Amino acid sequence: MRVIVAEDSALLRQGLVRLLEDCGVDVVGESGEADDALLALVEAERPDAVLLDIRMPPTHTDEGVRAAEAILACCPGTGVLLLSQYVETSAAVQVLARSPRGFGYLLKDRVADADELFDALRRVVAGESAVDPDIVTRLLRRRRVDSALDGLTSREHQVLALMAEGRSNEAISRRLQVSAKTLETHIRSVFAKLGLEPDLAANRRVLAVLTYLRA
Amino acid sequence: MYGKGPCEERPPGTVGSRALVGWGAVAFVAGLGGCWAYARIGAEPVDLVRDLSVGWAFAASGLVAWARRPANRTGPLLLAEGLAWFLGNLQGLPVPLLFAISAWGEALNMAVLAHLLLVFPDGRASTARERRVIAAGYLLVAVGGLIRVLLYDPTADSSTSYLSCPECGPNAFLVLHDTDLFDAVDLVYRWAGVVLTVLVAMTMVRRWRTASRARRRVLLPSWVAVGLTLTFVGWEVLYLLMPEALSSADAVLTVPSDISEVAVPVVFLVSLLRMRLRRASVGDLLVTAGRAPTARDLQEVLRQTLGDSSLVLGLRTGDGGYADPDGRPLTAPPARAGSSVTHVDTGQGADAVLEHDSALGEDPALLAAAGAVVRMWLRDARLRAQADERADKALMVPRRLLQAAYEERRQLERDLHDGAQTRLLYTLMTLRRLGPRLPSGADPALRRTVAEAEESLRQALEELRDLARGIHPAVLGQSGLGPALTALAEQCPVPVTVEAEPGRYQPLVETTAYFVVCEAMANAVKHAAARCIEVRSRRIGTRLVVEVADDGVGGVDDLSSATSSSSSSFSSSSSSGSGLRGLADRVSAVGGTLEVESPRGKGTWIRAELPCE
Repeated sequence: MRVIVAEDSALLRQGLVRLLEDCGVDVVGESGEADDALLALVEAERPDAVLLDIRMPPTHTDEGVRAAEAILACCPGTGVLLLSQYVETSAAVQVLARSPRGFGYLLKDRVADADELFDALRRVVAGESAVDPDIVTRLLRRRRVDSALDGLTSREHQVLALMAEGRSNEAISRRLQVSAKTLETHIRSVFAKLGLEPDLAANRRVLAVLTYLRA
Repeated sequence: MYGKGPCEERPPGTVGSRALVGWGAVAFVAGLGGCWAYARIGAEPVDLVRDLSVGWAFAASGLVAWARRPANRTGPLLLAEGLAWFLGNLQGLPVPLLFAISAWGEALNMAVLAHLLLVFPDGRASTARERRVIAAGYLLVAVGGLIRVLLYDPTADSSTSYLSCPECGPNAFLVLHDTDLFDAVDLVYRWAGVVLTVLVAMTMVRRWRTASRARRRVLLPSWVAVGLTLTFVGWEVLYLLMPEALSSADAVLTVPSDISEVAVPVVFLVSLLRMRLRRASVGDLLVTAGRAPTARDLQEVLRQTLGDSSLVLGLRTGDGGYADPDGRPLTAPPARAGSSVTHVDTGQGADAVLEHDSALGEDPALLAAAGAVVRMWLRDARLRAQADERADKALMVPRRLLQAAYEERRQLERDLHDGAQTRLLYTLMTLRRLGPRLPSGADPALRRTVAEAEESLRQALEELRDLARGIHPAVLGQSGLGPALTALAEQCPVPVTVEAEPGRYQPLVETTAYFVVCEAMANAVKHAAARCIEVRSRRIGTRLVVEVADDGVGGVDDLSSATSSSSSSFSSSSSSGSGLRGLADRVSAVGGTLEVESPRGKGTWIRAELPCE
């Protein structure tokens, strides 16, 4: 797997590179900026994925988000994994809404765990989505007024959480050890209870579920 | 004289009330004397009333005009006209000398009237032509009247005077007794009078045509007068041409002619009253000028009130000169003929000038009032500018302090993010890499220690993250108020519905709005035991409006009694009222308003309006 790492902190960049190399990932480029040079590097190298910090110079606001959108738009074969210090779902939803394929959003704490980082990278490379489980947990934990979530069974709850993380049906049925058919029954039930449009592809399904959970 | 009100100390050149009373007495006696003489020769009461009315009307209006415009000769001229009016009546006296003088000056009132018409309203002739015509009038009476009186025998030529009195006189000046010669001289004298009257009329037309609107308004009474005079002259001419044909119509035409004669001085009086009305409209000027925001507006108001469309308001410029409201420099002396300049002094030198038609100078009190209005406007404008400046400054200080405080928070959060958080994260990564590399037979206690260190590091990271977010929420700068409020709601233990219009605002406005919601939510959670919270943010016109409503216990402390204590996250609010007091300060520092409604047991509603241009 060929990956480019874009992170403005040299220390963290070094840590990430080491971590990825430990996992056998080929780091083909590093950048401290989320600028045109990064985009040119990505276009030249055509890596499988870009690991991108959301807060990048010069303003340390939304440079990472804009770079993620630009990369997803220019290089369809390249996935983007956005790293964030804080639980903040707006940026993730914004990127997901534009390019549902090959995008992931991970909390920085998560990357310390090599397995989780590698798993998320693998999924965006495969064109799937990856949303940090912490974010999903937090969204699900929120108490809501008259929430339809209260009507879900615990199994349906699990299914919803895994869908929100961007997992595919195969991954979910493997994780929950249920048959594909049973899973589909659960999914239909969840969508019906939440009043959402069913039969969405996994990528677009993430957006629908996240939007629902944030509302 | 300028700059003093009409009621203040009299400047030099004014008429004392004693002089006015004296002249009034003279006019009164002259009228009574004239009438007595007139009555002696059998004048009807109606004639006496008419005669007195006209003469006294002139004298009275003259006295009024003199009192009000001491520097103007119009008043004395009107008075002179009134006195001259009675002069001819003395022909009714049996005193030869008085009879002779009276007969000589019988037409003097016509010359004075011509003089009056030609110099009204300035009181002095402005062209050589006018002066010549006036002089010709007096010359005609002095010379022509004298020649005529030298030949005048009242016993023989009684029909040539308006006083039909063969018993009057005798004429002390009579030197030659020749009826034919007298008739010829009398005819020439009268025709010369007609010609002169036409000349006066032509001169007046010329004056009218070159007059501005303001001057024409003042000239109006003299035009009424000249119209009437021309009617008399026309009558005179017709009478001279065919006396027999008109003698029967004489009685019919006498009444309107008499009324119109009385009307002349009355019209002058009315003109004076109109001047008073103009002054009354200065009151309106005050009201309108108070609403005039710019010098150009004020100039327009002055033009309309003073009736001078050529009026220019000049304001002092930096180099000591004056410029009109459009910034064009004014020349001194005034470039236009017939215009004068009035200075408006606010106590710091002449700050403004009014360049206006000279005719307005005939009512100095009116100009004084207009000047006072300009002066007030200037002071008002200066005060307004100072007040605005002070208010701006007063607002800028807390605003800058708040901005600096927010900036410090932002920097602190950034330092934490780039420094401690990053280093801890790196350490966590390193520690995580260590775990798998421990030999499989490693001491379980060692593995446990590594795991404990890792867990401790995670907690430290989490606490640091919460702390940093409380100091300044990164998402606010990243994605704006809406996403920041959503993120806040996502972390709130109480269900929160957020309705936020998308859109970015100035960082200061976004940060203030964010902390308003933050504090309100903290209050709802910690003190009000709310079960649900609603947050709303939208732009209304040029204001960002954020509202937070909860269903808690309400009864938030009175804002004014609480001390200020700013709070930035759910964990740091000390008491429900103090945090809100701090909020009110922050909101007012950015020029906004904060409303709180918190009836006991009925929830709390907080609304902040922040200006956002």
